[in-house]
Amino acid sequence: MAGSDTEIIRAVLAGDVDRYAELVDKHQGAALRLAFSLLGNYEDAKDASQNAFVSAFRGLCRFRGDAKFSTWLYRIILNECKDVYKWRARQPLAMVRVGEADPDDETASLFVDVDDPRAGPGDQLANRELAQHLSAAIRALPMKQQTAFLLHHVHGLSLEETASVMHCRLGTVKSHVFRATEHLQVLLRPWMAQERG
Amino acid sequence: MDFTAWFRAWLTRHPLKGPHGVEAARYTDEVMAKVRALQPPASVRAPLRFWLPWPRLALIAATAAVGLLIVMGTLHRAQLQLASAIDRDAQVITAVDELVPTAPAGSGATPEDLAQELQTADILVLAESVPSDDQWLDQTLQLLQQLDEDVPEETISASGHTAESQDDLLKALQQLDEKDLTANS
Repeated sequence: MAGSDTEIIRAVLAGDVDRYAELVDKHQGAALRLAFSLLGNYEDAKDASQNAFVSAFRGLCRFRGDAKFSTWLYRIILNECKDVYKWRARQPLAMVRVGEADPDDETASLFVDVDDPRAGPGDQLANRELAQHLSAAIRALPMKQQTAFLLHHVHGLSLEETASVMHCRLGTVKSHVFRATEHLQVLLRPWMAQERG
Repeated sequence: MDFTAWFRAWLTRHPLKGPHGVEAARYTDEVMAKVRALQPPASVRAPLRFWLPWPRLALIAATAAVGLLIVMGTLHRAQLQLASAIDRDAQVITAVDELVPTAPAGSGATPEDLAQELQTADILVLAESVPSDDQWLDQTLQLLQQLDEDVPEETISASGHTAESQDDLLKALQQLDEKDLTANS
């Protein structure tokens, strides 16, 4: 029986722990996508998002309900991803960093390559290159700009929700999104011109 | 077309990659296995802020009441001290008023009244000081005897009086006194 997030949370807090599976089912797709967009690796994304669900369950009694459960969960995922970043940063540079995106891997791109039957082989290759180039450009952004851009433009959160997830002021989020957009615009101008042409 | 619009249009054709190779049911089972190993969240002790607000309000109210009582008590004590000081001063003033005459002499009296009072006082003094007639007579007789002893007969005769009897002598003396008084006045 599916219910609203608040209803499920009340039931879980009342002792019906099994109903937490409904929340996991409902939000796991978005959670995985967010973690993957931030980490660029499926395995790390899965671990981070699952840990986030467990942390959310542990702190469920502190959930005040003044924000959406998804916003609260995204904040926890963001913290989990930061821990993964810290763990990666501690890896020796001489070794291949475990979990980092490999340019030759299919996960090098954050975006789906859609085979357009109307497009020629050249266009499909160009699209794939653009997706990889765009993903690389986003990953090259400073962490906060990257997070703000992904949450707002890719995951569709409002600026207020983005500020809530990032635990910062609205003006700061606007600044991060603006700077990220400006940077990407400069990098992707040739691709945009090519698409228009 | 600006970058944002272009990017959003491009994103509709190339959406973000979803959970690749992750089975949803397995994912949920793994999460729930970890969750069941934990304590249920309801049994976790609630944070302090859930029970603190009411006692905090009561504590603030009690503190305010105690503060008010202390201030009221201090004010009341000060008022009592002031009242007792006023009473004490009033008692001192009353005592001083009893010592000081309410109408000092001469404050409202005219010189004529004062003169009359003094005359009355003199008369009283004289009346008190003047001995009785018998005493006065005895004293006078003693004096006369002394005179008789001291003064020769010629002196009395020279005054134009003859000392035939004590009554005559007494009359003579009274006349002399009257003369003296008349001459002095």
